[in-house]
Amino acid sequence: LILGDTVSGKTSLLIALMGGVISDSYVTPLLDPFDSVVNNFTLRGMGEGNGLPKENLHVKYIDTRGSVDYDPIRYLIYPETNLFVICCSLANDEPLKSVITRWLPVIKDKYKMIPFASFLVVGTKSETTSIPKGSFITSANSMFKNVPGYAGAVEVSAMDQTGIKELQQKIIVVGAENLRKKNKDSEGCCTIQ
Amino acid sequence: MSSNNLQAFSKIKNLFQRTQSSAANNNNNGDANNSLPSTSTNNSNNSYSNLSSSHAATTSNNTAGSSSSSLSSSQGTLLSNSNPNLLANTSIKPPLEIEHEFFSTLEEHQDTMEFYKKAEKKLLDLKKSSKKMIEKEHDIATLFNDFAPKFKKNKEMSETLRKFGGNLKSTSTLLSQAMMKLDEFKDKTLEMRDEGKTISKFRSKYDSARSDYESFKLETPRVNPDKDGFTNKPNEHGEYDPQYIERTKKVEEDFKLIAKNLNNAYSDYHNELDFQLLKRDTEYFSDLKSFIYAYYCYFSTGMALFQQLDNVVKKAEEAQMQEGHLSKSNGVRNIAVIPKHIFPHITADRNTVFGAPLEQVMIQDYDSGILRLPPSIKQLFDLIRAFGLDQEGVFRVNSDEQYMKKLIIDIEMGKEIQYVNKSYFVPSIAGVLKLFVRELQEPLMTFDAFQEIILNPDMQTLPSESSVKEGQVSKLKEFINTKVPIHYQVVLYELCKLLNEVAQHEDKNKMHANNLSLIFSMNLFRPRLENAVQLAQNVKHMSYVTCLLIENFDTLFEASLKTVCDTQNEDPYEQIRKSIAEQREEILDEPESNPNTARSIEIKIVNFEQEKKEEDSEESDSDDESDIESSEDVDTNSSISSPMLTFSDLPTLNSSEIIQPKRHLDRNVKYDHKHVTSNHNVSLILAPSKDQSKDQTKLPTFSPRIVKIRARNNLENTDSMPTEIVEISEPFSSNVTPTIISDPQVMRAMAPPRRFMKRVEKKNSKPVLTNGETLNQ
Repeated sequence: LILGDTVSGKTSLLIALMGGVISDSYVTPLLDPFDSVVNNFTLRGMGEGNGLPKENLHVKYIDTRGSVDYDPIRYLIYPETNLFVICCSLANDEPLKSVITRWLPVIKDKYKMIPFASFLVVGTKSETTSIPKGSFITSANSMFKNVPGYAGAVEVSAMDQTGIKELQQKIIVVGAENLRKKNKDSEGCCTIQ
Repeated sequence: MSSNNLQAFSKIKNLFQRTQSSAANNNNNGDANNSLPSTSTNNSNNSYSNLSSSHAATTSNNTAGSSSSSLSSSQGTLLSNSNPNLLANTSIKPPLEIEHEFFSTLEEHQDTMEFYKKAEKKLLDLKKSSKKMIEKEHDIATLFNDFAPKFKKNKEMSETLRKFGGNLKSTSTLLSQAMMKLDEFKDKTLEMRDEGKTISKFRSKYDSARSDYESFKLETPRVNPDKDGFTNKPNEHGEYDPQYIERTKKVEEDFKLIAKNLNNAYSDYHNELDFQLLKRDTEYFSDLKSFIYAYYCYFSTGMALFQQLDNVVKKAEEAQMQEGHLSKSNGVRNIAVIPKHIFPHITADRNTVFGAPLEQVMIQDYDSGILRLPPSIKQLFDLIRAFGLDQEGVFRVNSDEQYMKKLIIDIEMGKEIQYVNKSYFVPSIAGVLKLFVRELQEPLMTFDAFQEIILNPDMQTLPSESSVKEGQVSKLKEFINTKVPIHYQVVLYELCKLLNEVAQHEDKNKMHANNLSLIFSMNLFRPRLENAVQLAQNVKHMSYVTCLLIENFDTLFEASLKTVCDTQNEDPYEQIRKSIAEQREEILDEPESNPNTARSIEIKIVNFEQEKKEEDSEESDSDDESDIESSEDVDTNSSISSPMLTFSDLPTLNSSEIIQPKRHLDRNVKYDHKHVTSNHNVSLILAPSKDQSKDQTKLPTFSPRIVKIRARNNLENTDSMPTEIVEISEPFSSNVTPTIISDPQVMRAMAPPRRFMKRVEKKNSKPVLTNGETLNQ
């Protein structure tokens, strides 16, 4: 499940994750009605070397609308979620501010109900920021060290594909782990939402 | 009571059985036979009669409780009446051993019987009165039938009368609110006075520190060489005694410490003083503002109501006089006949803008009955129009939460939002607007819309032909015009208008109607029972309908509503608010100049009689204009004997006239001022001084009165909405007197109302109008 404020680049990230290329930064994101971008796609061989079965991986991403108006609906899909991907735009002055004030309370509350879900913090639009590389990750690490379910932070640019592979790896690994915890006799087919 | 009676009855019953049996044995029951035929034959019958009597008693008990069934009650009372007769008349002689007991119970029983008699009487009375009532009702019904056509004629009048009655209630609430505000204000001032005492605390601290410092200064030669056994003089080598050096060092340190303390105390004192001053200026004035606003609301609404009533009465009289003639149509006012379910409030403090029922949020103009958005919400629309149309992603970009909270508080307080040149300003404004729409108790399209529009299969099909779309639009229009209450329609219209404007700037802000509808669909539609699954399923349909709303807003609403909304953009109380705010700013801006004296230049309180004399004496000297003015004053004074208070034309006042008459004075001409106070009459006199006014006779602007008139004329001419300023032919005498506030600051703030009074008086004199018109030309 991909969460994040509006205009933080969720849809762009998703397109990048699916292997698409983003040409303009402000064309697509406006058209992201809820549930419209549900993606089922198959990854072959991504699980190698991570202790995962070498069969096909089935990853399901769900995009959400970040607007406050859609709050009542967004809660609907939380229970099925294995991994929250919280996006925050590095172009903002304080990228982690909204994560702390808005998204983390939700995760924390829901974490009690979804014991086998964890969250990733993703800083998007890393090509626009002036912050030195890695500082976002360190600050996020220090900030969420004691938060249960914190799985890590990644710095990503959907424009020039930096960090996308890393993120994909992480999503698969963490999601599979969560799923294994949740359902011990999983049959090699992991659904990461 | 009934249980007691029952007990008494059972007792009597027992006694009876005993006595009867004994009597039967003694052949002594002849008297009993006369009154009670059932007891004549044998004992079993006796017991039966007792049973029946007890039964009667119970029935009477029941009927006493239930007053509705008169038949059974009369039966019961008849039976119960027979019983005491039986018991009283029959000379039953009970056996000696229970005689006493018997009579006591008998008395008890008689008491209860009296009670029953009374109850029965009451019932009869009730019956009679009810009969009377029914007769009266019949009479009224017949009367109504006779007069039904006549009533239809006067339907308007009766409706307005009803409205008047309803509004009177609201004015009374307004008054109570105003009074509450006054109390709050008093409390606040007391509180502030108390808090001001902290200054004195700090002051005393500072004083003590100062005294410490000074005493230490005086006592600095504390080093007593003789006592302590060392000298303060250097020895032959030019060296001081080390003990002495040590001492002096210590003393120096002490001195430094105390000086530091003094400095701290001083700075604390000044900080506190500044803080308290600032607090006083801000809090005091905001409170004062709200109080005055509440009071003003009360007066204005009350006056408007009375005028309405006057109008109605006059119209009715006219109609009576010239029957058969067409009565004057109200024009646009007919729209203003508001459905009954709207109960308008003009509340002074609008603590609940967000999450309040819309009926409470909306302002209804009492003159025209037109509904309008409150200025606090209206300004959001204006700000987005001004700054947001070209902003990329208006309504979509997330807002700054903290700033939004501040904005919400500001709006709840009724403050004006100032433009901030920051990236988060427009998104926050848009966010607040969205919040307002979202937080309404009923969504703008009402709960029924979800069932009737969204879940309607006709509306769900995406149109391939234009005819289908037209059908959908017409259906939507029908729904809006029939099911949606008028005040919801107004807000909906404003919102759709704004969104349409935003959508037209698509190339700049990248928000076309589809995008906007995605955002607002969640706010406009909501099922009665919140069901997230249902919502999620219908997001597409909702956004589609919202898109229709935005694209076709022009055709969806009735033309009358549109004209009203488009023309009535100005808030009638805006100027008052502004004047108060600006006055406050002025006071804050010039703290060094004594505001009391500055004000006294402009505000004159003149006794009518005295003024008249003075004006008369002046008349000969002054030139044409002042001549007119003074003559007007004389006119008004002569025609009106009692002080009059009407705030009827307040909304049409030009704000600049209220706020800054001083500038007029300073800029153009020097004025002579009279300062006369009286107990009864208050007035304002601005007479140009003789020498200067002659030079500038050709400048009509320098006389504030004429500017006022011009302003009003302009307003009347330009304002397409007939707010219909009612000219009162007779002086309106009201029992309401303004509260006299002795506080000079309050007096200062209350200055505008005083001017208004004067204005009203002038208005009554017709020459003013004609003069104003001629000057205007």
